[in-house]
Amino acid sequence: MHRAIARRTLLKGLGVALPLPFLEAMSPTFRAGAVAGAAEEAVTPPRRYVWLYQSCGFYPGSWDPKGSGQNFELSRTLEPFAPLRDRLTVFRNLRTHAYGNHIGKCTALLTGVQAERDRELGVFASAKSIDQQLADHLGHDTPIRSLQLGIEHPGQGYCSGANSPVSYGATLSWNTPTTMLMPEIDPRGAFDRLFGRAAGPGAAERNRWQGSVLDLVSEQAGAIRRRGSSLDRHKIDEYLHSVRSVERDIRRATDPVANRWQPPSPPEESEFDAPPPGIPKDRAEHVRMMLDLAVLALWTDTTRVVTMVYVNSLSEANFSFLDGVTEPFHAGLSHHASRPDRVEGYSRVNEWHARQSAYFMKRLDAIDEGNGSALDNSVVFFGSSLKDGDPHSNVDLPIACVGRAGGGLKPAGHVICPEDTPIGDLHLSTLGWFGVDADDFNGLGAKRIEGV
Amino acid sequence: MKTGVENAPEKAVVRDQPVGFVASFPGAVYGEFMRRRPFPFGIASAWLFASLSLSVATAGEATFRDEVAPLLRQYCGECHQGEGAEAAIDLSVYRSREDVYPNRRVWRRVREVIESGAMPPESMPGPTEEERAALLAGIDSAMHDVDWEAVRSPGSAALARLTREEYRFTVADLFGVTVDVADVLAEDPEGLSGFANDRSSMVMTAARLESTLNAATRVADAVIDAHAGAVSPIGYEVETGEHASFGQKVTRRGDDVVGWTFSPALGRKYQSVRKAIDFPRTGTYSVRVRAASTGPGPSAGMWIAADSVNDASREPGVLVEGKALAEYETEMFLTAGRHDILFGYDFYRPPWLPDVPDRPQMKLGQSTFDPPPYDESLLPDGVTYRELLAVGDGSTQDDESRIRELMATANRIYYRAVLDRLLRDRFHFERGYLPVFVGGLGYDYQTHVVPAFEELAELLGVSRKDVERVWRDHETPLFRELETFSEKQRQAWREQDESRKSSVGGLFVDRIEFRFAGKPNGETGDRRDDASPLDSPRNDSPRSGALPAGRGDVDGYLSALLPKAFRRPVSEEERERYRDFYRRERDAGGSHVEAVRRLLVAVLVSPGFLYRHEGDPPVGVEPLGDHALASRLSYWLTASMPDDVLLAAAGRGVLNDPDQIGRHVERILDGDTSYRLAARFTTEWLKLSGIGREKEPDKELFRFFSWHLAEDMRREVALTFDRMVREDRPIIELLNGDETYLNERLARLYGIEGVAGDAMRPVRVEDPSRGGLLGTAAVLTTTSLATRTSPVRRGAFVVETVLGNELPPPPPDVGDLPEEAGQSESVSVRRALEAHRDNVRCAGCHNKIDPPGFALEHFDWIGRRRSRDPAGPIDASARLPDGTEVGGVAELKAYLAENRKDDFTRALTERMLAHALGRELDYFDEHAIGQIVSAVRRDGYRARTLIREIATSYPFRYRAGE
Repeated sequence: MHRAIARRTLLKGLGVALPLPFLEAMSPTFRAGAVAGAAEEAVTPPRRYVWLYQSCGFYPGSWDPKGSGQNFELSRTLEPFAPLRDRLTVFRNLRTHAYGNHIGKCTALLTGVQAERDRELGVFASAKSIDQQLADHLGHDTPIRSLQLGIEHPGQGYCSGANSPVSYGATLSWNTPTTMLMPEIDPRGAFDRLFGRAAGPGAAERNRWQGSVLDLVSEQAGAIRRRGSSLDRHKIDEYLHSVRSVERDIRRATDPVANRWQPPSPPEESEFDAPPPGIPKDRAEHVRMMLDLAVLALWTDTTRVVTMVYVNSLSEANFSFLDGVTEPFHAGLSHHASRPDRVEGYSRVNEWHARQSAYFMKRLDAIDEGNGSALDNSVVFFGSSLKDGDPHSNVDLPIACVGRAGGGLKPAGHVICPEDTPIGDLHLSTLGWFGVDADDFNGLGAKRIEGV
Repeated sequence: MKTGVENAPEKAVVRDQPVGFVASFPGAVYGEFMRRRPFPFGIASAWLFASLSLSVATAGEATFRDEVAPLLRQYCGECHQGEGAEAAIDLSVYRSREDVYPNRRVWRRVREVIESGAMPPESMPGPTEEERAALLAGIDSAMHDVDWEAVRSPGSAALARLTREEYRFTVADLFGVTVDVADVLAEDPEGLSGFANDRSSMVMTAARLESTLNAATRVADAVIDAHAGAVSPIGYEVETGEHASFGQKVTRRGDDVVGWTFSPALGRKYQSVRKAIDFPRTGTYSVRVRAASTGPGPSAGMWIAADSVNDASREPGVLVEGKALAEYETEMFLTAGRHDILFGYDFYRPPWLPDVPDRPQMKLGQSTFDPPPYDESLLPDGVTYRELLAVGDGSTQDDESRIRELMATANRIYYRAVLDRLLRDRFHFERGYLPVFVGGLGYDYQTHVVPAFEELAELLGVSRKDVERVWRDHETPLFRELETFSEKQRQAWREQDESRKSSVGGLFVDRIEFRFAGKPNGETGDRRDDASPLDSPRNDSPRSGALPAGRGDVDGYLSALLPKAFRRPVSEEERERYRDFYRRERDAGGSHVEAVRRLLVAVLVSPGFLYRHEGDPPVGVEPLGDHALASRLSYWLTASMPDDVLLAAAGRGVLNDPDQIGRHVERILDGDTSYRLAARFTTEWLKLSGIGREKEPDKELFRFFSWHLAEDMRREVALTFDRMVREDRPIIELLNGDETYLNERLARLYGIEGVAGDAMRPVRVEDPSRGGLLGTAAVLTTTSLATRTSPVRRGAFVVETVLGNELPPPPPDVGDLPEEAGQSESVSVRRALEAHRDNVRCAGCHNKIDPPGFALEHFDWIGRRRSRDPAGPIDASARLPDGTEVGGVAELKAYLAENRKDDFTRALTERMLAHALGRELDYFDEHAIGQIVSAVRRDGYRARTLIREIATSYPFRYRAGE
């Protein structure tokens, strides 16, 4: 059972000398009996929230389904979800209230609030995003509160304007109005973050001394805080908050919550092979690796909240590895000017993303959790903050989800909301599916969407 | 209307509310980020400079109140007034001039839409010509006739956190060790200023702190290792616990020899180990490898390469023979700085293949093999395999057009031919003969064929998927033949293979060492010229060895370390905390070394190290404290902590004085770290980091494109900038310089003869279109798309980056290039754009953008000279908005350097000042900008004057309370 190669061994050659536990020890906490007494009480499977996002919109002619309710016809882009159709909900007429072509609309998707310059703090500020609000409810017992994944460097993308930061279009997740959570794009980095802290030989000692380190640095942070301006305090609070989160992670790793969810069919040990270091050159491979990591994280209940950005806002990405795709995705295809060849390329890239997402969902669906599959216990969203990349419109956003949120959501097929329904309504409804009692979302005056 | 802004519950903050307005006009793609100065190309700066010297127009207030405001009410008020104003913007809040200039973002756009006629919309009544002129004049006056000195402020900025780069340099300079943390710490996103050191972007999250903890642990290990002398200064020794990238095993021989074992069974593709090693000097190094064969026969070979992405630059290397560990030697030429040293296993000439000639370097176009004897009828008429294989790598115009031509007809077949060939060459896969590695149908798709695909994909610069597709579509005859062999025959082969396999040795490598063997002939002597010195520690940084020897030394060690690490005096009490930490770790049972390691980790994740706290918040405006100033200076100029001299000056409390600062600036720029500023600033200012990453020219056409070349491109710019600073040359040379830095790869791209080797060296260019930023492949590539040039992006670069003008975003429903441009034979980019400009909505900006973009059309999308594009001969003549006619890039450069140098000076000043301050500039910086620009102008546009003036400027030396 035990492998001869220690994690430390694995990592040291790559320069990471963190004394990490044994490989096999990455998985033990959810093995039956790993936590004393765990088997005795029935634990219900966790509920999870996932967003799979692509920034440049979907060609409406390929996305929009026909019909309504359960009586609808899958569109070309949504075709890959056919096997999951019984758990599919496609929302229509949701919109953000944001301006700007890309970045503002991206920041508003999960927050309902476009990020804007905050004069006083000298930063962009938005609002706490739905995934992070859910993480507050779902994430406190898991080793990692939430996971942000991406494919492209945050600074990627062409943007006119000599000092135009494109990074704000690289993530969906905002933990506070001023704290964007940048996605991890390195599969190995994501793997280490997810499983690096797991219990194992040496972990107790490491976690102890790292805990002391954090105590020590908190004291110093406190001293700076006392002497700082309010701007300084804002930054130091961010630091202290992070210290507390890491302390929490340490506690969760060494001292897992009793009655933690144990998947009845845990992943094979081989699933825990660390990805090779570095960012894969091949996009398809990269996307697949990230999705597999997300599956593993949800399967093992290492986290319950995941956002994944396939394509950043203003991306320079080129999907010429797909047949019939020659133009760059954003500048060439999403700005299709209704030319048939570009519309076709646009639709193909869209379809490819749908297929990747369907792959992810099917993998979750293959995980039996007793009361249903992991997919049944999740809601996996797929969509964009633009309706169509050519006019950059943000009404009737392409948003679909698959799953039942463990029974909280009744999949409703093609749900046609009233025109210009604010995106906040979806998020308020989502809180409801997860059993979070809320009257509003981010103070937007949101109402629940009817029929789901 | 709900914008969400006002409703966000957790934000009790003042907003630059007008931003929303800026971006809410139609087409506000990038409106969030608009910069200053709405002036049209050509008339902006003279006017602006004049206005700076004006005293405040006292009559202006009355004009605004009595003339401008009523017009705004009349024509804009319908939609932009009061609660629920269109796009959440309410113009009625701007009651006086004093409301206007601080909100420049809005007003620049208001001016823009009024001037261009985009607003009011056609469906609404618009102002008369006179009224429009009055509006514009009134807005201009309110925005520019301002007593900037009276409204100046140094601004108040938040705590700056070290960026990844700064973290690495600080560690290098603090401990004298270079530790790569790039794979642990994520790249910092750029902030509102466009630079990664922007205080607005320095978010700390749990994930970031966790990775900082990992990085600190790695650094602490490296410091302790360096102290223990375990690793020779340049060299690499395999240690227990090593793990190589792709599954090589670390094995043990005897009691204390540990090394990598490469097995022939795995094939050669993944059998390599990559290590980043720092080289102190440029020159020839003797490379000594301690290795042994693991098999009975002569072993396979070992190859060593520097900075190799694919195997193209592999050197045949070393043939290792015999099972006893022995030292083997070869030579390599390396430039100073960090290199990725890649070493790995090669089958080398397998001894059981006596009749196969030495495998030549697999290089397309230089084949010594006959083309594969396959069915040429598969090929298009008149094309032979030989011809297919003889096509070059796309680095010349001829190559490229030939490749285009062939690919149009023979794309797949071409791959096929090369694939067959590759299988034969690399895997000795011959008709009727099955070599060991593709063992008699024991060949394994994953182990043998996939690597061949990958290798082919690399050679061709296409994705593996492409190759696989071709593979399936046109299954190669070789494999088809194989399947017809009988099982008996296969079995015989399998046995044969087994016995052969056991006769081929694997490779065991224990140590690699590089010894400096002197400078080569003919190479430049200046280490800066060819170094990639970004990673070298400073000369004055300690060389390890300074760790405390035992418990008794810890206090002394901390007294020396902490003030440097925190870049300020450290109180006894604070030191005591760290000492306590050490004691507690010892008490908990840790060894001295272990406790020191943890102590280092604690220092490296502490906020004192990670953040630059600039002291107690000032009341009003106060001069910056000396230690804070020292850090500002050194982090700007060297991306690292202050050196001893600077720290000492700060300690004496004499630093915040223009003369003092000037002297330190000179001293630092004379030192060995000036390149750090050049590399960091140019990469971020010109947005060059994406080249070779997401900014990758179409690989089907440019198979030679590698990250080497991408890095060469960046270094050309950085080295040119660095020399300008070191030699105090005029910044105008960035526009029209006739000297640049090249190595062989770049020179080849540029069509310049006589530059050999990897080393970058200064080269005088004869071609007047080269030299200066606009002649560099870096800028030309970064402003192109993957498959074609974009005159729009290039023109925007000239207008925004070179001239510092602001462009409004394109309307949302037009792409960034009109359809068909450059794609079809019949429509040239130029013609498409000209048609575009007939559209009134486009013309306002495109009249400014397109002409300079056209003038650069003689460069293709990776910066090669060209005279044609697919649509025909290039016409690079252009008429600039001020009426100047230019016939191409050389004349454009001359025009910019002659007529627009003040605009460029201002543009560069603004970007450098923002970089130096780590924040976005605002209206209250206007005075400082004006002062710096005039000083630079007076002093012959010298680069050091610019830097000195920034370092001694008001916002740099002062800070404001809140």
